[in-house]
Amino acid sequence: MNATQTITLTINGKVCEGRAGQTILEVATANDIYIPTLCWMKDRSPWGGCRMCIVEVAGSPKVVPACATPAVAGSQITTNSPRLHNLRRMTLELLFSERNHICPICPMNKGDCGLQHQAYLHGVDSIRFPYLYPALPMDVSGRYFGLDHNRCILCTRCVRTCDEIEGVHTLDIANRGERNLIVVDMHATFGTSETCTSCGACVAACPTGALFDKAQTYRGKLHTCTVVKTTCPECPVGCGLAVYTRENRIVEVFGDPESPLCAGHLCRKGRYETWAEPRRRITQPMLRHNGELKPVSWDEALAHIRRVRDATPVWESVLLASPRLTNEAGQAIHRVADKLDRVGVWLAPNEGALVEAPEPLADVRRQLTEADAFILLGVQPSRDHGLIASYVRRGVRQRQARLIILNCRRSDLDRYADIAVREVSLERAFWAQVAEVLRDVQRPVLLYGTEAMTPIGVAVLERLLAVFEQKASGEAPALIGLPIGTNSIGLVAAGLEAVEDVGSWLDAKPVRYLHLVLGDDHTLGERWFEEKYRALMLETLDLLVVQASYESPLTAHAHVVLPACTWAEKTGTVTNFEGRTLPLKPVIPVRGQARDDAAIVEAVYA
Amino acid sequence: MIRAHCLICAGAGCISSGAHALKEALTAELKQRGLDNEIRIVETGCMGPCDLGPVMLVHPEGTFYQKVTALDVPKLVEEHFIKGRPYQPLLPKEAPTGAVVNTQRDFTFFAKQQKIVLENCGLIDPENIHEYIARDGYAALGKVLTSMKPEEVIAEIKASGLRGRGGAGFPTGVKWELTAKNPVKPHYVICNADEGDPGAFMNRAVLEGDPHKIIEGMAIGGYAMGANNGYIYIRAEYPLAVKRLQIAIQQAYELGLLGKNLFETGFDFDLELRIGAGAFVCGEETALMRSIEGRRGQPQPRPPFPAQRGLWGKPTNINNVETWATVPIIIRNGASWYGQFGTARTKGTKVFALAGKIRNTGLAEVPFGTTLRELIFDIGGGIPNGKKFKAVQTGGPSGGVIPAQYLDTPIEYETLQALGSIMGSGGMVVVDEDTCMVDFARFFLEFCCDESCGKCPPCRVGTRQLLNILERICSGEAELEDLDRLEELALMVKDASLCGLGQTAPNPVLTTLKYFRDEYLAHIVEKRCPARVCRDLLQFTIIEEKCVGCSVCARVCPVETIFKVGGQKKYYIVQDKCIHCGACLEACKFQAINKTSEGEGFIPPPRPAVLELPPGRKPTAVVTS
Ligand SMILES: Cc1cc2nc3c(=O)[nH]c(=O)nc-3n(C[C@H](O)[C@H](O)[C@H](O)COP(=O)(O)O)c2cc1C
Ligand code: SF4
Ligand code: SF4
Ligand code: SF4
Ligand code: FES
Repeated sequence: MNATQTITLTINGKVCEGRAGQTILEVATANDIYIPTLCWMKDRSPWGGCRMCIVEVAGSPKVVPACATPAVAGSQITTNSPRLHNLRRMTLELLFSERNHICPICPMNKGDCGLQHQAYLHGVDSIRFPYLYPALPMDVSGRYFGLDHNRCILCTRCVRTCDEIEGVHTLDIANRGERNLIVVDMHATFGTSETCTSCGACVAACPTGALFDKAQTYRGKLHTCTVVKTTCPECPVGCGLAVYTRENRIVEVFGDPESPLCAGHLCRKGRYETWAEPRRRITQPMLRHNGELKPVSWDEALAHIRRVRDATPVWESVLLASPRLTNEAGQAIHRVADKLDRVGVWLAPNEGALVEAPEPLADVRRQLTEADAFILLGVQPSRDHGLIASYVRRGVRQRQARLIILNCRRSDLDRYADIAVREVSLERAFWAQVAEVLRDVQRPVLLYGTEAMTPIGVAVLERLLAVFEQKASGEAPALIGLPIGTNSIGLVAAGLEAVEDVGSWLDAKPVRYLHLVLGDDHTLGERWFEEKYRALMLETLDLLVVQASYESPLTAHAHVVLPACTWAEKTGTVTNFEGRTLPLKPVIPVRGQARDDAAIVEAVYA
Repeated sequence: MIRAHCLICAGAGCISSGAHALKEALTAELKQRGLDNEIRIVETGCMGPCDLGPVMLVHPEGTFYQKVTALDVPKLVEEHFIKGRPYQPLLPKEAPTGAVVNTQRDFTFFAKQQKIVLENCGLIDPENIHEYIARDGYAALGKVLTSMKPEEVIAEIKASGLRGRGGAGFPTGVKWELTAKNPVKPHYVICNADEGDPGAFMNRAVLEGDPHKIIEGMAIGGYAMGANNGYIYIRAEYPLAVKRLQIAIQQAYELGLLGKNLFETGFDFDLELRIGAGAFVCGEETALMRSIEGRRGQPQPRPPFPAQRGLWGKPTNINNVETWATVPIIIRNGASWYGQFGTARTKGTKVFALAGKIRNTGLAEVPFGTTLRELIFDIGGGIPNGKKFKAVQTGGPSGGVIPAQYLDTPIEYETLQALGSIMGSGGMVVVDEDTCMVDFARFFLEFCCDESCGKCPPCRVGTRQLLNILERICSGEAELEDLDRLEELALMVKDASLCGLGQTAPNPVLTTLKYFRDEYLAHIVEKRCPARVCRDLLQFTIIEEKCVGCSVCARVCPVETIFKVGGQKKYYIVQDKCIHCGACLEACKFQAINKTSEGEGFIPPPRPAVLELPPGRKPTAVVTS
């Protein structure tokens, strides 16, 4: 059977073209014929359980599920008939009678719910069967989302998504028949699960109100929201976000299905840390007066900075930026660099070599989806690049790809690995083992991170490449470098100095004026104080200007605090790990008196 | 010099009724009398008439003994082996006539059967491969490997007309061809030995009694379909079958009948056992394959069929135990020999498990086309205790019931289906006049509801809602419109469910509605259970003339609603508190308790003016009149 072979069949009397291997549902959809579905979901294995998509095939007495049945050339299919309508309608009635689908008190009510939608389509205006309503528990122990079994229709979209997309198989169904229940790690809860990554893909997949995002609940119906597509600000992968807003508030963040790499899937950071974490927002400039920060106008704040700067020599003035800033903010900083002694971007240890003029990567999606081996060297995808971790899990679990993890910290990926070693030795036996694992590999992918840039890391990398050179067959590995900072690559390219060790960078010369451009960075404020002496250093400054969206220990030490826009409010671009320039689009209006980072820098050094 | 063989049935039924103790006693007795060199004891698989167990067959005469216990052994040995005459007390009697049966051949139960699949069951020692080989075992495998092309094997199976015995009756040769012709490699063959129907044990009999037949059949199938690996999926509840299969597989490997290069032809065939966890639905082929793959055993929509995409996504052929076991016999004797049994549409024989209200419960193998009457009345010996035949349920828990007017129907897939039932795996549950058909449907629906895997709403929720309606009918709470709802929902569950479980679960409901609608109406309209089974619709009263005043009923009544009639040696049941448990009826030795189901027209016997506490009861209950 040729996958590109065209086949013709008749659906509802209409001649339809499709490709061999497509399901009836796929052919119908491509030909603008609607078939109701509930358990079906794009890019997930067909389940065929909900029975909404049943169709009739001429010559066969039994109905078949369109979502799971291969289309056969020449067949005649009926997608709508009194019999099908009646079966679907009764199926819906049974679902409504099974558990507690009392729409008015469900967060999905009025339009977001797949079950309710089908009920409207099929004219379900009454349920002829008594309600069964077993009393089922609710799991609200997770940080970001909860599961109300009473609203679950057991479509297993969450189970398949967890298994096939995030690749962790935390969810499954337990028990038989009417006692079916979605379970977390067999006996755990979301809060206690050891495998759940909190990516929230199950919630995004759930057609009912069973799985719900706590932050979204009752904030507004998704179908009444404005949807803006932008780029995830949390890491250099740069997944596309589809941000739902209503009345100038973010109601929900999903992955953008059209984004090439993520294709609708996100990791916990993109899906929740972007909006569902409580953070104290700074909305106006503040000036320290008699030891206390007091709100002031922009003019007052800027005037104060100017006064101090006039009294401070340029060689004692420095600016340090977060790697989350946009390219445009980086360029603005570069333009005023002559007014300061040094301008730098704060990178992770050993990140510099990874982000200075990297080769642009092409074809990463294909490499990740076709790889038959992943080698991870000095990189932490589960922690730093969640989406990449999901590709690795999918590869290992669905395609039996080999996995070698070298010089990485412990992570959930270890349990899928053929070899996982914290500190690689250069012993011959070890490398023979590596060569054995890689023997039949044809399309390897080598993911490397900051720890691959240390002298040991480089030595290991060379040994790895030597293993590949000696192989009889197979491609050379696709090399994919993964920085840690969201836009480290773009900011270094904009001319900011790569600063890996902030302590010695600042200590190199005396500093009296320090401008920290944090933007919406919610981690650097904590990181600053990881070494004690940096707190002391703040005491010696004439002026500490902290430009940030959120309150942090750093803003608490500042003399001047300037309110910056968050990712959701700014316009600009970032450069991701592939070297692609990705747009950030404003999703909600700017809060309070906050301003864009580039504009603030321009104003300060005008 | 061996002069006689004592075949002791070691099928599960006889083992539970004491076959092992019998064997030990017999061994000891023969030894003590110095006969152990002359008489050999063999443990065999199931012989069929399980309720007569432990049973024993003595060759060469063919004397068949029933209900032989260890205590009978000395007398039996004395009579049969010393004096040389059958030991009369243990000979079976012909059911209707009471005539004593001397040999197995003369016993109608056996005489009317045609043993093909079961040819060796009850005859050979299943733990000894040489006994199988002595009965032409593995000759068929040798024949196909050395003298037939795979296509010729498939052609032979096609020509034989063999149809799958797992329930659906799909032509086996056609199915084999689909797998054989699939260019995707490798191919797999699977034996479905899950047999989850309650009360069914036809597969078990073959697994325990003649395991090599299955192995040989699968190896032949593997050769014909280009599969080098086979799996037998067997339920954990069959430990004896598992053990005997393990022994058989090991013996076959030892003799080079499994493994590499069979018969020096270069054909390799490996066979593995997989033990199922016991869910009924795991017998459904797609669920079974997922279970072998280590996943949750839930059915998948078909197409794609296993021959297209089966185990681990590869072309797979899955057949029932009985189907596989028939294969070597067909190859050995030829398709045309096999074609002489059965009907034009359906060739060969089928093993049935007779159960319920029937004299000879057990296994019987008959040619297709045998009528229900022959199977139930001739082989099965009819209904015991002079009761009347009411119906027979064929095909297991989701089979339909067939009433008396269709007793002359020849048994075939199509004929049963036309009556609203199924062949299934061959279960036959006979029902007599004491059975309430509504309660009967409720009972089997409860089984299916419980065993539903839960994947699709029509089965998961639909069977529960059907069950709820039936329960309401049985307890007299239903209204007439419930009947329409019951019928509509039953048809919907049948039509919309994903797999065979849901698609057949409503059969008992639909057929009882069709053939015994009056019983439903009696429950709903008159609040009456004609068979006097549905507890909530019963009344218990004391027949004054028969009551001797022994007080036993009053003492067993759990709710203390039986009182002494003031000043008389009579008892009286106060109806309001009666929970219809029937304890009094069972306890009364004078048949003085009347069980009725009179519906709303019931008028209890007039209440005596004075009721007294029965002797010994503390005066907790306040008696008002
Ligand atoms: C709920 C359910 C249970 C089944 N259980 C069994 C079983 O225990 N044994 C069996 O052979 N077939 C069983 N089947 C039928 C199998 O799916 C399949 O049709 C059969 O194994 C094919 O073998 P055959 O072609 O030899 O009949 C079951 C089907 C369903 C729907
Ligand atoms: S929780 Fe949602 S997605 Fe998961 S099975 Fe239930 S209804 Fe489907
Ligand atoms: S992988 Fe990176 S870009 Fe993608 S969602 Fe997670 S944090 Fe955002
Ligand atoms: S019909 Fe029943 S057993 Fe079969 S898939 Fe549906 S729920 Fe499961
Ligand atoms: S959408 Fe096809 S069965 Fe659910």
